[in-house]
Amino acid sequence: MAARHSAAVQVASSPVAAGDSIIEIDGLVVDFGHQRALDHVSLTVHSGEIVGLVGANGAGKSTLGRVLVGELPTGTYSGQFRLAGAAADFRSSRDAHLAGISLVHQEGAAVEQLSIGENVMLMNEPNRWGVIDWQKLHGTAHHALQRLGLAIDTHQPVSTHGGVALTEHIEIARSIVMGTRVFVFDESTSALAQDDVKVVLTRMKELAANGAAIIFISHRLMEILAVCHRIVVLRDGRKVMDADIAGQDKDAIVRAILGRDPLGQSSGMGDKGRSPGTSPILSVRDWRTTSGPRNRVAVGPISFTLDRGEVLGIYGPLGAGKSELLNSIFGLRDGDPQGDLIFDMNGRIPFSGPEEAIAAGVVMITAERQRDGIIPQLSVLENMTLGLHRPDLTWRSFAVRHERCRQTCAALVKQLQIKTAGLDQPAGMLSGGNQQKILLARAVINDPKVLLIDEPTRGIDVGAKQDVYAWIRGSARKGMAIIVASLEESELLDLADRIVILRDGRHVETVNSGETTERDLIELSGGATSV
Amino acid sequence: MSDQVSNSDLAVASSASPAAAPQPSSWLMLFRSTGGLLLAIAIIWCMFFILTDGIFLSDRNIINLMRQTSITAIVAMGMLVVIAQGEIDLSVGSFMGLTATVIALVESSGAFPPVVTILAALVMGVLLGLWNGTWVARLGVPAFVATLGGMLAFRGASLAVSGGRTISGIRDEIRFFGEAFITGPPLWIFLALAFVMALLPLRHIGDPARQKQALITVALAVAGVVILAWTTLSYRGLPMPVAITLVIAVLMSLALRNLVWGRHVYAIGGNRAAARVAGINVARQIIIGYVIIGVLTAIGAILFVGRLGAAPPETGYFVELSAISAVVIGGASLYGGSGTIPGVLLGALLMQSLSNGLSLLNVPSAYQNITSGLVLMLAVYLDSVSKRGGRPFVR
Repeated sequence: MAARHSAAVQVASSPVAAGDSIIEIDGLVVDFGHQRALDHVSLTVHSGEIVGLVGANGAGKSTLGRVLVGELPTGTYSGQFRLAGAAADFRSSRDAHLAGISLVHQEGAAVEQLSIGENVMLMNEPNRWGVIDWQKLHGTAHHALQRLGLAIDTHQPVSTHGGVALTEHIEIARSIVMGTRVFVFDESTSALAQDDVKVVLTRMKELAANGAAIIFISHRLMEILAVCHRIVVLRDGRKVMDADIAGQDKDAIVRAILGRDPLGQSSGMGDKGRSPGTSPILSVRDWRTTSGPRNRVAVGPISFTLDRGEVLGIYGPLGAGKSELLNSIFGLRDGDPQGDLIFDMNGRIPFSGPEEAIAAGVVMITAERQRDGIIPQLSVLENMTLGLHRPDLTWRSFAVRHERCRQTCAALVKQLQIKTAGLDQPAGMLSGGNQQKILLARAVINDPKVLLIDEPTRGIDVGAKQDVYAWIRGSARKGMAIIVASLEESELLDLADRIVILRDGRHVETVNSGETTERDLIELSGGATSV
Repeated sequence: MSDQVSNSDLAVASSASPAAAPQPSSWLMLFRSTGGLLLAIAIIWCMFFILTDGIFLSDRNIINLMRQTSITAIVAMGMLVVIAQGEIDLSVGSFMGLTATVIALVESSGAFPPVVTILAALVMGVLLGLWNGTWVARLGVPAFVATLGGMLAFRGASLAVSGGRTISGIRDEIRFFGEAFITGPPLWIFLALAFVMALLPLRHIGDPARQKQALITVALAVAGVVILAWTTLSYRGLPMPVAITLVIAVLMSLALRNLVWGRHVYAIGGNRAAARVAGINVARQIIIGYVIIGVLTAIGAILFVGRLGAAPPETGYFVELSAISAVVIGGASLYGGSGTIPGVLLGALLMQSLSNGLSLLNVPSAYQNITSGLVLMLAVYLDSVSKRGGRPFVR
């Protein structure tokens, strides 16, 4: 173990010279039960190269990533997988890690209670006869982070800084110390704010320049186009495109992902520019909340008014307090918020919790679909009707009316084009996009006057994204008032009538989306948030 | 369990991509299904049938077996609700001891009519549920610790009240619930009703997706009713505790499937944060779960005291563990969100079959405990193996 430390920091110290093929995959087949996840996929990656791996949800890109990093061990797939010319017989992700292939997760993985230095050197602690050499540990960690342009006190616990960007940097630094030659970035930018994305993309380029091979799995085509040398598109488990990035444009890639021409690109709401305040349904005045374990950021003071049939955007970088704002309105919060919440002409005290909010007609779809949206082992039907709030689904809120539930859900599956084997299939088996549609269906069933959606399209594929947008617009047209919080500027400019801009929990400005550009949003929200 | 704890658990669970979740192998699925459970019971029964020269499957022993199973099964049905909600209750064994002692004291005093005794026991069950539920759901003490405290405290209270003596003097009205046999026309009506219930799944016969499942369920249920009819008609009749267990089982099964409450049980065990966001009152739901197990345990105490005619100080020892074993062997996950009433009944029957059969073979109870412990560990192991996609070892 100790021998690795001295040489570790230099990525280029690997025996493979830049330009040599480091990963060779040929005829890779992966089956999950009767479902073929990967169908004879071949992939070669050279050192010093960044390969973008894209595809719709369920196309097989995560599966390919999991084979690469040993999460799917030898024996679970067939086909050739060679690392630097030798067969890669990984029995676990640890084997892959030791062989020099590392995964950088979507949200980073760090032990919050440990110090930054301990996290970087996790599983790799320098020691003498089992006693940790703390000076060397922090020295090596500091050095590795410095190479990433991060001057930070490695003795501090991760939790004092927090943030997805920091944990991703810790993961990269950990890999550098381990002597990693191949990095798999799995949606590593999807939870990051604009500036942090730039930082991470720059790191990728630097790692590649030092001889590492990088596989970048992402839904974000602009980032792929900006940073990758080559792009590989998977569709239904097959490789349908493998080309140099030069000369590729977004449309061609989207066509390859979808296997068809994309639906007409949206041009925003039809009735933009109508005067706000004509039929208010929800307004908050001098709204503020404290921070706590659930809400990391103190929010407020914020004031805005939401009209019937309006889509209001909430924009800000990560940590600006978007989720905290929506949570506090919905009643998911630490402590009691201050200020007035006027809902449906009733000046009322804040909702005590989701139960009361939903009863009043305010429904929320949270950003973390897996954490607090879907119940994976319950069926599609049970997930859609969760809570059973709609009166006609039950007999006096006491007994379930099964046939009524079935009819309602079948109609929604059809309407939202949810791809499922049936209403009784466990929701956990569905792709992210279809799970998101289940949450939309649940919201429909609860018949909200106001719908709060946090990150409506995070981690879902292009096709599902368009469906979600269409649904949001359609619902607003029918009179539902919707608040959409998002990190993606283009999404908000597309969907929202007005956009509330947050920065460090404070309300900076409210803009009309028709008169605003992505640049404006980024500048107003304050840009530079340090890592 | 506090919100933070469950959140961090769920965060870990969410890191695995659901679409690509590896499928457990089919033999494992079989083991964790009701079919696997029936198969295991059939094997155990055949084994003991041979080893005991047929005594094990005599009508008399089957009735005995059902009687022994009934009290565990009643508590286990309450435990299913608690476990499916992602909690645990370790206090029920001691609580059964305390309730039995109180019942015996009230009875032996002779000051109140028997109906007061029964009401007192049931009220104690409700209070226990409110007590445990408040500690867990409102005060946020992890269920394991809160009910472990109750386990010690109630046993202590029971010994303090009884002075460590066996209290006898149970009157006939209470003994009726533990000892009586249903015979004659009431038994015929009971069996007829059971037969009709067994045929109920046939209403799905028109739906091709559910046709096969319905036929299998009906076949198994009818077989069960036939065994019940044969043994009860050829021996002394249907023991009262068994009848009560079956009635509770039907009610619980219907409630879990058809009531809004039952839906929410599995929802908050499956993903508590999601259930809360969906507007389910999680705290109230958890408290109701504890009240149900409290009341069912009180009923168990009545049956126990009724059968024995006395309340010895060791009443209820290991009942919580037998109940948890029955639930887990019956296919419920200790992680919450799953489990069925038929599974729990079969789980209880399997455990009781083992100890009954070993008793017939004159195996000392020490070795019976060893067997029960190993079987429980095997069942939980199979659950966790299926949770991690069929891999035998943790990576």
